Amino acid sequence: MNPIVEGLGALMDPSLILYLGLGTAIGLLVGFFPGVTATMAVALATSFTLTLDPIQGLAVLLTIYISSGFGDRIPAILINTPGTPASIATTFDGYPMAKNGRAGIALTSSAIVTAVGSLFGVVVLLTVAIPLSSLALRFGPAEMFMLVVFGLTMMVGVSGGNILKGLISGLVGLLLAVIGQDPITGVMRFTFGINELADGIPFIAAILGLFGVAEVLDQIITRNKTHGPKIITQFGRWWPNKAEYKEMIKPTLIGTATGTVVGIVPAAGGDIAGIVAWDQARRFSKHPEKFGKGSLEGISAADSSSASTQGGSLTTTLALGVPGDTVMAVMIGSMVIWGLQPGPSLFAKHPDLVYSIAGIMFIAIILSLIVSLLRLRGAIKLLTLPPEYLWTIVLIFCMVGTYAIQNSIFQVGIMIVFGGIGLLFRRFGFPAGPMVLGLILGNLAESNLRRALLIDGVYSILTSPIAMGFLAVSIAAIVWPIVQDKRNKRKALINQK
Amino acid sequence: MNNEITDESIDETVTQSGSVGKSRRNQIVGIFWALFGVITIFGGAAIQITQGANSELGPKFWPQMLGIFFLVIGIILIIQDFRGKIRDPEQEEITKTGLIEVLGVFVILVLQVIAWGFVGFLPSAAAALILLPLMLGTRKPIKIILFSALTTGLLYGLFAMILRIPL
Repeated sequence: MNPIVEGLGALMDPSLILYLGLGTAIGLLVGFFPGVTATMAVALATSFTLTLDPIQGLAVLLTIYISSGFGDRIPAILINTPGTPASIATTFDGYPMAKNGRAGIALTSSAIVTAVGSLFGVVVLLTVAIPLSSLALRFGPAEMFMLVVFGLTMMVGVSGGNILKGLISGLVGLLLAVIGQDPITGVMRFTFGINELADGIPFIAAILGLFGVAEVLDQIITRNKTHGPKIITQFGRWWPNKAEYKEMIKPTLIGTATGTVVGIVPAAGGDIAGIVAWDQARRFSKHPEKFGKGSLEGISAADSSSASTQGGSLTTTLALGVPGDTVMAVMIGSMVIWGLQPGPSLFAKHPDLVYSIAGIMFIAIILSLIVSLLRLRGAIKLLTLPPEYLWTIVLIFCMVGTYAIQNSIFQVGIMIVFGGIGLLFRRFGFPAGPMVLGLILGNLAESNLRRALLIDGVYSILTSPIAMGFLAVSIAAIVWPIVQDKRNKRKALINQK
Repeated sequence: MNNEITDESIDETVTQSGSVGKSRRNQIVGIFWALFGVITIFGGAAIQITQGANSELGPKFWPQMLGIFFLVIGIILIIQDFRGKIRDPEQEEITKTGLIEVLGVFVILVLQVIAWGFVGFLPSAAAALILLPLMLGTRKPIKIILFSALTTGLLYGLFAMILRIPL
C-alpha cells in the first residue's frame, strides 16, 4: 500500500482524538508553568505511554512537545519568565509589549507565528527526513561511530559553559551505557553483582532523575522567597490589525528560516534559535531601536524561529538517530521500547511513519493554536499557584512514572540517585544534556567503533570521507566556542582600553 | 606604553573582573575526574572476559578508553584552573534555606522509597505529599491534607485504575 495512505490511515483511530487532546492539555500546562520543561513532561509522559500502541504514544508525546511551544509564551509575556527555555527570546519584546498595555496582541500574534513556524517544521520533516535517511543508510560502522561523536560534540558545543565539563558529562553518559551486557560479546560489565543492572541503567529513570528531580531540587536550592512574579492583568486589544499583520510577515520569514537551520543541527534547540532569529530580525528591521522595548517584529521572529526548530529536530532524530534536542533524546528512549529504533533504517522499515508523525504534528498545531486563541483569563490565575505544591506534584509524578515502567522500586531508587547526581552536575557547571545523549548513544558508539576497528583498524575511519567530515565538524563544534570566547574577550579588552 | 593584547593579558583582565578564577574548586573537580579515570581504567581491566572474546577490542577496550579520556580531561581541567582559564556560567546562588529544604526533600524521597516497599504506595505517597509541602514552608494544614488526599486519589485513579499499574 502507498505509505502516505497507510501513514495517514493510522490516524483514523477514534481513540487518537483523546490522546491528542490529552497531549495538548498537558503540553499547554507544562509550557504555562515556569520550571516544568517540555523535556521533563515528555519524560514523565513516557512512563505512562509505554503501554500504548506506538502511534497513540507518539501522539501524546509529540503533542506535548508541540503544544508546550505554545504554552510557554504566556508566562514569558505576562510575568517576564520563560515557561520553557525555548521562550527566552519571547521575554525580550513580549513582556515590554504587555507592560505597554498590548498583552492581548502579544499573546495572539505569538500564537499565530508559533503555528506558522511549527507548520513549516512539518514541511521540513516531510521533505527532508526520507532523503536524509536514505543517505544515512549507506553509513557503515565507521560513519555511524563518527555520527555519534558528531551528535555528542554538537550537544557539548551548544550546551554552554565550559567545553571540558560538557565533554566530561558526555563521557559519563557513555560510561553509564557500559553498565550491563557488552553489546558484542554479552559479557557483564560494572554490574557489581546487582541483577537489576544486567540490562543497563534504566534510561527513563535516569532521564526523570536528571531532568525532573534535579530541576526541582535546583529551583528549591536557589529560591528566593522575598518576591513573587508580578502578573500583567491589562490585556488591551486581542487581534492585530492589518498593519500589524503586515509588520509580522518579514520577521516571521526570518525566524522560520533561522529556526529551520538551527533545528536541523543536532542538539541545538528552540532557545538558541529564538535568540539568533531575534538578533537577525533586528539587523534587517527598519526600526531596530524598537527591539527590546515591545516590538511586534521582535516577538514574531523569536517565536516563529523557536517553533520551526521542532520539525528539524524531529528530522535529525528520526533519520539519523541523533537527537535534535533534549526532548528528542527522551523520545528516542520511548521509541526504542516500542520497537522503533530511530536511525537510518527507520524509514526503510516503516516508510509510513513519517506521514503519521507529520499528521499528528499538523493536528497538534491546529489544536494548540485554537486553545491558545481562546481568551483563558481564568487560566492566568494558575500562574499564582505556590511553587511548593507544583514541586511536590512533579517529584511524586517522577516517582510513580519511573515505577510504572517496570513496576520496580529499584528503578525509583535509581531515579532519586540520578536526581542527586543531576543537582551536583548543575551546581558544578556540568550540563546534563551530553550525559543523556551519551547514555542513549553509548552502545551504538561502542559497538560501531569496535566493529570498524575489527574490519580494518583505524584506517576504516581515516579512509571514509563521511566519517572524516563528521570528525571535522565535531572538532569545529568544540573549538569554535573557544575561539569565539577568546574573540569576545579581546573585543571587550579593546573597548576597555 | 605597550598596548599589545596577548592571550595572557585577556585572561588576566577577565580574572580581575571576577568572572574567572573566583575559587579553585575546579582543581578539586579536575582531580576528582582524573582519579575517576584511573579507577575506570582499572575497573575496565578487572572485567572478566569469557572464552572467545577478543582481548584487544573486547569488552575492556571501550571503558578503558573512556577512562583515559577522563584522566586526560581531568588533568587539562586542573591545568586550566591553575592558569585561571575556567569560566563557569553564571548561576543563581544557593540559599541557606534552600539547602536545608533540598536536604529535607531528599531525605523524604528516600524514606518514601523505603516505606513503599513495606507499606505500599498509597500510605507512603500520602505521607510524602503531606511532608514535602511542609518541608518546603507551607503552613496551612487543611490545604496540605486536602492536597495530599486529592493528589493521592489522582495518582491512584490514573495509574492504578486507568493504566492498570499495580501500585
